Amino acid sequence: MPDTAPKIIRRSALDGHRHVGDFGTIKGGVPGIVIQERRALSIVHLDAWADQVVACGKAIEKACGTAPAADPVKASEKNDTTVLWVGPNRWLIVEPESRDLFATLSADVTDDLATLTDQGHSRVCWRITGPNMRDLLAKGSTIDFDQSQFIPGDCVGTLLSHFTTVLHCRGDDTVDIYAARSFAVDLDHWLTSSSLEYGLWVLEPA
Amino acid sequence: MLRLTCPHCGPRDQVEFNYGGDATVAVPDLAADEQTWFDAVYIRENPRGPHTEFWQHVAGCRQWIRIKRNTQTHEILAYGAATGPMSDDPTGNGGTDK
Amino acid sequence: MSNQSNRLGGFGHINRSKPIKFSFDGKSYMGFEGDTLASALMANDVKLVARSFKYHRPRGIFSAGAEEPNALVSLREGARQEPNTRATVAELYDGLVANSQNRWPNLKYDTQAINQLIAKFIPAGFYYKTFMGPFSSTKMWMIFEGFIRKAAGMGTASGLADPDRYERSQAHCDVMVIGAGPAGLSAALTAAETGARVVLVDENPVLGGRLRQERMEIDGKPAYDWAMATAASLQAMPNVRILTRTTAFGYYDDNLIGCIEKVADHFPVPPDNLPRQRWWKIRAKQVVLATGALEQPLVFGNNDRPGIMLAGAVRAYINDFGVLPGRRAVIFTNNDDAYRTALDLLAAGASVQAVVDARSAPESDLINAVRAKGVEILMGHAVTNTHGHFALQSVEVTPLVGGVSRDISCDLLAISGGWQPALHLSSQTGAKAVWNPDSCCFLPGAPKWAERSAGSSAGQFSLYACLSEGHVRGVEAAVAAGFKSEKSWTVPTVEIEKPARTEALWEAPDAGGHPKKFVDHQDDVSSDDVRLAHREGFISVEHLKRYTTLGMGTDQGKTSNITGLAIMASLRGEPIQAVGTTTFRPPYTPIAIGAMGGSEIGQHYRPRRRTPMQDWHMERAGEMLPAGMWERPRHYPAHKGETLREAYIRETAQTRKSAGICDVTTLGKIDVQGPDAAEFLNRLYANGFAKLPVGKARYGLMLREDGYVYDDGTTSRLSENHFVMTTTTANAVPVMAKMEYYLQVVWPDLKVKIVSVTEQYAAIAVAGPNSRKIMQKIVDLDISNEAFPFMGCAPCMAAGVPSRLFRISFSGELAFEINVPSDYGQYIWDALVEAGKEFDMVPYGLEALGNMRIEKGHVAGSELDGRTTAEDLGLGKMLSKQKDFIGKALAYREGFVADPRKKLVGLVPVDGKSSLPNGSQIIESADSKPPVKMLGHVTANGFSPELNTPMALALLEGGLTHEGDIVIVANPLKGLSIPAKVTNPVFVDPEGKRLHA
Ligand SMILES: [Zn+2]
Repeated sequence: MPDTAPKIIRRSALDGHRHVGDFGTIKGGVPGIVIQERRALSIVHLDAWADQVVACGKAIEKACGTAPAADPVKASEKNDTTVLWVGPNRWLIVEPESRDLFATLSADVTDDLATLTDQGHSRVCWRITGPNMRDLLAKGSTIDFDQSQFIPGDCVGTLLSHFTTVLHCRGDDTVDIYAARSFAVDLDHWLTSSSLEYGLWVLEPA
Repeated sequence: MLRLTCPHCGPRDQVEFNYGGDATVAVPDLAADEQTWFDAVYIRENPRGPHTEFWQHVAGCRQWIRIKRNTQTHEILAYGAATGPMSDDPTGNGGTDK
Repeated sequence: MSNQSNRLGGFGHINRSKPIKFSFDGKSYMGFEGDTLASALMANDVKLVARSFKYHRPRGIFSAGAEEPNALVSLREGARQEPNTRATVAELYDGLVANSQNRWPNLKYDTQAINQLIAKFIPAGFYYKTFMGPFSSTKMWMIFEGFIRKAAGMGTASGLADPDRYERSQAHCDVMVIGAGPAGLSAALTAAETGARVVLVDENPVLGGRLRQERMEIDGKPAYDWAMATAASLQAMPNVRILTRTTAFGYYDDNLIGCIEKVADHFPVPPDNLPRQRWWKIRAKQVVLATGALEQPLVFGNNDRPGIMLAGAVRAYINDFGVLPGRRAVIFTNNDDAYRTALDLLAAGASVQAVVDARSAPESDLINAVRAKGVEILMGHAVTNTHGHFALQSVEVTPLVGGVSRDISCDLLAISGGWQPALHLSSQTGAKAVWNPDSCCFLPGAPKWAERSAGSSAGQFSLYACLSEGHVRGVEAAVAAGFKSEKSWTVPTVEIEKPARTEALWEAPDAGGHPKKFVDHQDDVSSDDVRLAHREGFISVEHLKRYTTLGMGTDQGKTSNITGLAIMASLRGEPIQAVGTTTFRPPYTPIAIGAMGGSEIGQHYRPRRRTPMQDWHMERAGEMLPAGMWERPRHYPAHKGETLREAYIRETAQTRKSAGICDVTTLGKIDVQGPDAAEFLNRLYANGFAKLPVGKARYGLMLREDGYVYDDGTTSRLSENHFVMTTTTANAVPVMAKMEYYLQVVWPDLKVKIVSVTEQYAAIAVAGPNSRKIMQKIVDLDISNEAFPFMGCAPCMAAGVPSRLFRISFSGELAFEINVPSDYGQYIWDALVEAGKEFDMVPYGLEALGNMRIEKGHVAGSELDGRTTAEDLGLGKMLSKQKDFIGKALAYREGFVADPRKKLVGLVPVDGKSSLPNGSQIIESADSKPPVKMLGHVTANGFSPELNTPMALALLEGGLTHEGDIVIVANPLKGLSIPAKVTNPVFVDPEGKRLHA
């Protein structure tokens, strides 16, 4: 490669389409919804062989510091790493891009335990916080978002508006939404326009 | 709108699933003869009453599942994973993959 | 400005400190906050509010609720104009503009009222008879239709796009209570006290239901106070969600209740970014239906004049809105309830001229109370006719058994035919309504889903029954939802009533003359129309409905169906239960289409997918074309005046001459891994994949189980147990689902994992003789023909980004396809565009892409139409004889191999100029006489700059056995008939030399 090569530019699906600022009906200076894109993530799809789930969990723990949650429809977290359940024996391992996650995982999670697929560019992730987080989600999905039903650690694959998403509940009023990259602009429009009645802050991406 | 129980994710609305056809018809061996394949591809019962059918949880875990549904009343009678036994607790709160 | 002359001091729950200005038919009036348009009009003594649908008869306000058949107005103006709005449920807001409809030029001088004079010539079934009889031609109908539509009609739509936003929302609960009258409040409170999550919906802005409209007492205080206190308790409970202004309109499978919340209908324009309306889908474990009851009218001569009103509605206007509907009233009833109206009218200062009771000799406390006030009670009498035009002036009263009629002067006739439970939601579930002869009404049938009715919707009409049954059903529902009821509850103290029995009077007799007696006010259906339907054999309720239009208006017959079917039952000489009801269907009340669409309208009607280079394309493309959920550039005009045709021909020529670049991200990409990956692909594809070497790609053909061609694409082997497969853009999603089906259902023993990587990679094709030079500039791999031959694939670094390179070609040229992680897609695209500058590389769109594949005779979606076999497409040799695969068993069926089948050929116009439009039929001769045998059709067409001729692909009977023949490409829609020569479908470089260059 010649030295004159341009600087490598990693461009999120929302770059050029993000409107940062205050929008909608903000009451008393407090927005009902705060939206922030979590950008430049490493994501690895991991599909364990059915008879190797336990060994695979241990290998994941070795590489990431946390094994997948024991139950389906749950996520586990340790430091910056999140392990999202996306189907039986299937997880998405998510980190802010800081190390070669795929290579790190490959070293521990060997072929006989699971298959690994790099998905770091396939998803867009929004972090939604605010007192109206559950009202917003209820506009799009038929999941029961009551505080007693959708609890921190829950990780559900569902249809939000007409977009296939994974919703990771991170707190009483915080959720991470993962969706396929190609739908990002349309889903972002849905999220922001549906939040206007609650008052909305759109932050610079994290 | 139906509420179907995914044996992996729990009860979800019908919009999250794609209908996948009659689950009582087995796909023949690839080496099976033309008549066997013809019957499997084209010959269907059309029962009024309980019927086991495939659905795929496309918006969730992407698993193919089986639902036993009364085609006349829409009552859900049982659910199960792609293979293996089915549960007859139609409203099972799911979330258990075990 | 009027002075609200009918407003009552000391009555009603309106907010007199908030006066509101509104207009009706251009005239300004004042009302108060809490008024409906109907109550405000009544306060201002506006009696005439509408003209009827068919006969244009003057009509006034008939009810005080959702059942209103008469007072339909056009609300708002401009794009927000809302025709056929019931004035009785339209909340008054400041600046509200309403207009009457179905009149010309105005309400008082409606020229169409002449229809009344010819009424006998336009009976039920008029349209059917007339236009299926002597005037049956389409032409006649088209002439008359305009007049009829104008004369018989409703309001008009604005024709403008609705400027408001609508939304959807969903909720879950343990117990849903529908209706917040005494039964609903009682049920909601007791259910909530068990800890159950309760959703309470009510169509009104304030809770209380009938308690707001009656002068009753609970625990020695006004019932209204109890309602307000209970509402306040519910509001304070965290496990209760209250939705006011919310109509539960539909009861669906698995206890899903559809509701419309009128979030901002009571504002001129929705404030604070609120949606105008919200469509709620509420999934309830258990449902309590406390939907109340609808008072039924009585049928008698000229029973539709302004000033004739349901007796319960009169009480609602007095007690809830503080409006006196009339000063000299007559009551006409077949039950005790209307006697309350007499008492309330007296309390409000009106005079009650008489109570006309169709029953012979009922006795009850209520009747005695009215009698004690000195009101004349005419037992065994009926109102048989009325007088007045724009307002009621008098009624004709006649004894039912012998005797002479007499006129009683009045300005208000309050009528009651008894109460019918609002069992719409229960019936929508399929629960069959049961006729109860004792109370002359249908009761809800045995539940099909987890629901129960309480209070008057279950036929329990007394306040005591509503409160106590509401409690019982609320507890029952909570327990059924898994909660325990620990708190004891005593029914509040209310007066126990012992009303006299209701006696049916479906139609009052005539007392001289034969005035029109309306059964269905909204559709102008009279009792004579019911008799006509019976005479002509339309005796089932469903036929009666369709023949006469009874119950087909926007009110869905809430005040007419029961009477109509009861009259039919008596004509048939059968019990009412045997005649039955028509099918109840959602919605309970009309709902706006906008609410159903929610926010998924316009360009958000369905999700749109964008490739990582979408912005670049949208800036430069002449047009974007939908391809599945994607939108792809069709062409890139070189300058402003360049046409689509010029552009795609230029893009084709330049790609073949030098180089072109194309975004192919939309093709489906599936990662296939595992020890059995090769075996799996070998079963899926018709051609062999087991022996594909690592580092190589292969074109694969997939059949459906029925043997027809399904999909195609290239699949590459990245390592021994790792493949990446591509599908067509259109089939990416179904092919993935089908592969999952085979792995999860059919062959769970195969050790294979698949996952879509379509989103992970941007895919860019660079094609043309200079493509190697361009690609070589950015990749770190030796891509000479020797090092990286045709169908090679390898990982590489491209401009510093880890990528995958494939030497595959759709255009037939030397070509490369690079897959890079999506976030780097634009970066690599820019790098390639820069690298291609010295070669005048062009971007090419869908049109050139399609054109080049036609030049090469490659099949695509228009040939893979689900009716073509591999042999038809010239791909028969790909079907492996060495192995079994999906579709093989049925691919050699009799019809698949019998000739002549339609097979792929090329066509060029004999004149070298005419284009051959897609979909054109191929026939033998231009002189053929019908019926013309159709030999095939054109599937795709374009223009080959290399051959300088239009060309097309076609499916032609007999296929290449006709090579060299001249056929006619006929397109009658375009008036074309073009001689064309049948050729080999590969027009350019038939030996495929360029691919291997
Ligand atoms: Zn699932």
